[in-house]
Amino acid sequence: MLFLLDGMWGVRDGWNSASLDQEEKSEVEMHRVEVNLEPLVNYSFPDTLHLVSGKQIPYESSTVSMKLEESNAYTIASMTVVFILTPLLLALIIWGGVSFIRFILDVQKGKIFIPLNVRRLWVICWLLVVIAVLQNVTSGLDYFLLVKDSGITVPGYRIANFHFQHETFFIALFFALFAEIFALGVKLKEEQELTI
Amino acid sequence: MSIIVNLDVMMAKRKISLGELADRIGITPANLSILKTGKAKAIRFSTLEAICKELDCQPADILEYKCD
Repeated sequence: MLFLLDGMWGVRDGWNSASLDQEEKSEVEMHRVEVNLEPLVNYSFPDTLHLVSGKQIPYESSTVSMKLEESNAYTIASMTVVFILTPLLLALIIWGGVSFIRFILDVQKGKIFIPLNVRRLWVICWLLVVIAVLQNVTSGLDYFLLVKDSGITVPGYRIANFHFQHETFFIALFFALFAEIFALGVKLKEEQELTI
Repeated sequence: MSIIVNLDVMMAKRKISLGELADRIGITPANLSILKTGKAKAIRFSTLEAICKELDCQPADILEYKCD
């Protein structure tokens, strides 16, 4: 009983707190963005962490999240990305997920080198390419429209330039390689089956 | 395809059916049918030898090259 009451009071307090935040919110839209940092002096740690035990440890941050004021250009660009590309991305993710699951199920049944599996691997490859492109588009929007000319400074650091994120592209490349290998496997299997 | 399989011609000459020939050379009628209809990608020498032995013919009687 006490536990339920405590929970209800917690919900009430949280609701009231959220209402206050909403009232205090400024008219300008703020957007949370990840900013990459580079220390101003190489091979040295710009900050010191003070532990409870009294020990001091040098450290540096590589990424920090902050809220920056949105510009009109950013709002338009981000809404374009969200409303046009998000449904497409969701459809692709569902299609890619179903393809991957069916690929695994077919492999478990012993149907490995079949043309359908080759097509499924290509679907997953292209899905990863689209995700990688969208990752870089959104990071680019954040950097070029929000961070670059914002004039923000972090003591001991400089804001890193936009870095092209290539990890997902490499994973897509692996899937493309697997698809080609499976296609070759399908061809060899067909030749083997049609060798009398 | 550039290689033409004339197995049906030799089978007709020797008056032997597909099933009987398949049984004699030790392959399934389905595989022999694939060979007869020209859908095969390759043939083993052992299979060609067995066919020539049963049909009493030369490989050239069964396989023909036609330039496309």
